Amino acid sequence: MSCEEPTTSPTPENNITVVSSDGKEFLLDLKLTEQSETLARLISNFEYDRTDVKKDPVPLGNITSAQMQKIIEWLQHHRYYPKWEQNDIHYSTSFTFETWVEEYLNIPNNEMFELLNAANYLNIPRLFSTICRIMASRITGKSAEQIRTVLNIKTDVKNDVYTGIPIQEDSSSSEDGMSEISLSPSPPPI
Amino acid sequence: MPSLSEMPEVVMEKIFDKLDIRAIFTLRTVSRFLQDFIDDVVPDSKLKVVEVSVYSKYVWVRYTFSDGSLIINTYEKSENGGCKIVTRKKKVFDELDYVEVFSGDLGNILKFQKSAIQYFSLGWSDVINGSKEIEPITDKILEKLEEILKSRKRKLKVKNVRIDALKQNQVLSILPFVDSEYLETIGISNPESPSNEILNIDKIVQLEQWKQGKILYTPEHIVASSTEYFTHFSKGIVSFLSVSVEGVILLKEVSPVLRRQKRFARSCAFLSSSSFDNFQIKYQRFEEKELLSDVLGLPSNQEENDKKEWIVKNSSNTSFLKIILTSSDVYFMRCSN
Repeated sequence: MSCEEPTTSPTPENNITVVSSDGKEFLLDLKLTEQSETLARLISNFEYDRTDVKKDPVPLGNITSAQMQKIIEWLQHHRYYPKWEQNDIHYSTSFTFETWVEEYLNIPNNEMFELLNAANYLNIPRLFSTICRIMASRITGKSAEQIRTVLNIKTDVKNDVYTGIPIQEDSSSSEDGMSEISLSPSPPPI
Repeated sequence: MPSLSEMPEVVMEKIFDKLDIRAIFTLRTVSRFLQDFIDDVVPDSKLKVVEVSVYSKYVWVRYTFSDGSLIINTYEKSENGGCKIVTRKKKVFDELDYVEVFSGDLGNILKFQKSAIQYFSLGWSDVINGSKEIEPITDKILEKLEEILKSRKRKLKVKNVRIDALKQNQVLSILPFVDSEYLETIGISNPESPSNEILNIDKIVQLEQWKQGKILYTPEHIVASSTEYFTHFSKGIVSFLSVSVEGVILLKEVSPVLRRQKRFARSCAFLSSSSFDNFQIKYQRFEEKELLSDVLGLPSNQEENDKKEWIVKNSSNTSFLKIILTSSDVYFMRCSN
């Protein structure tokens, strides 16, 4: 990140203040907000890019300070990246990622889901699409039981739906299902 | 703790968009919520090509997806009369019938197909010993397939379809249920080719799918039909038992009298069609063939081997058509000038 630090120090002209749900204020360079369609639209609507307009702090009620910190890290890393395009190569279903991205998203699943929600709320397409791809890569090729672990899906009753016999913990349960393109067995009750 | 089920729908759909159909089917067995969600949203299978070959002892299938990934499976009878699936590894289900399992899998994948399939083919293989063993299996598959296609809310989008068939009903299990807006090529091949069996197509030619079709490929069947049902194709091959001078002329141009009678779905034929490219008619008999010169005039080219060529143009001199007559075929070709 050090090489990407802005060379100009933040001045009120090129910044806005956003406030996280826990009341912490963040000073955001306007250049960084371009990656968030939600913020960019807000700035344009309120004409916050003009020096003669008084700028109020923007409350982001859905985002905690920890998430905001994480998102700013993303925005700074991608500061000089070209604008995101839908047909970008990274939009494809390829499951290979930049090393930086892999490290950045090496976080517990619950944090990943929170970050995904925040990316959706702030409408940061590159981050949103990347997390979706990471999630998809963690689901692909896994058995139903493994997916339950990955997705934090708890099945309280671990009994077979038909026989009532407790299901053995078996990581290869999907392989024992029908064929790979079968819609059975039925999911267990939650 | 947040989980997938608490994500907004748009987020889940986006994740699903990046998963292949196998992962989606596994996900469906993970929880009731995901099952309901998947059945409600119906993520796209993203199938590009479906190729099915029915053999006397097994069914082979290759699914090609839009990202280039493949599923290749064979379904055959297990030692105990059940079903053995050979894929990346073998799976045996002794209590199940292999044709049922195959049809079920095909149904699942087609149920989730939203985008257009480029090519769908259903062929019969190893008919050396005749198709008696294969036809009942195919009929069973077609019966299931028809059920699946009928139960879809929207018609299946298929660009090019090729079906091996001996009877009209076998074609009618698929063709009426594909979206006529997307269909371009209709291929009806003959598993017993060469044969002199005649294929009745009176119901097929009445289908919207036929009327909207652009390319026809039925070289191995002798069809029982009149040329008037072929005037709208821009490319094709078809075999008739016999053709007449009137039938050939009709393909060139629909006469004003017939046009007034509104007997034709489209009033233009090959000469005036802007999309026409080429069309080949194979025939076994051509009644009063020599009278063709009376209608088309003297051939522009005539060779010893009974081959004649005519160049015809429309009334405004803007469109030219080359007609070639040989002892077994009539060719129509668009000419540049």
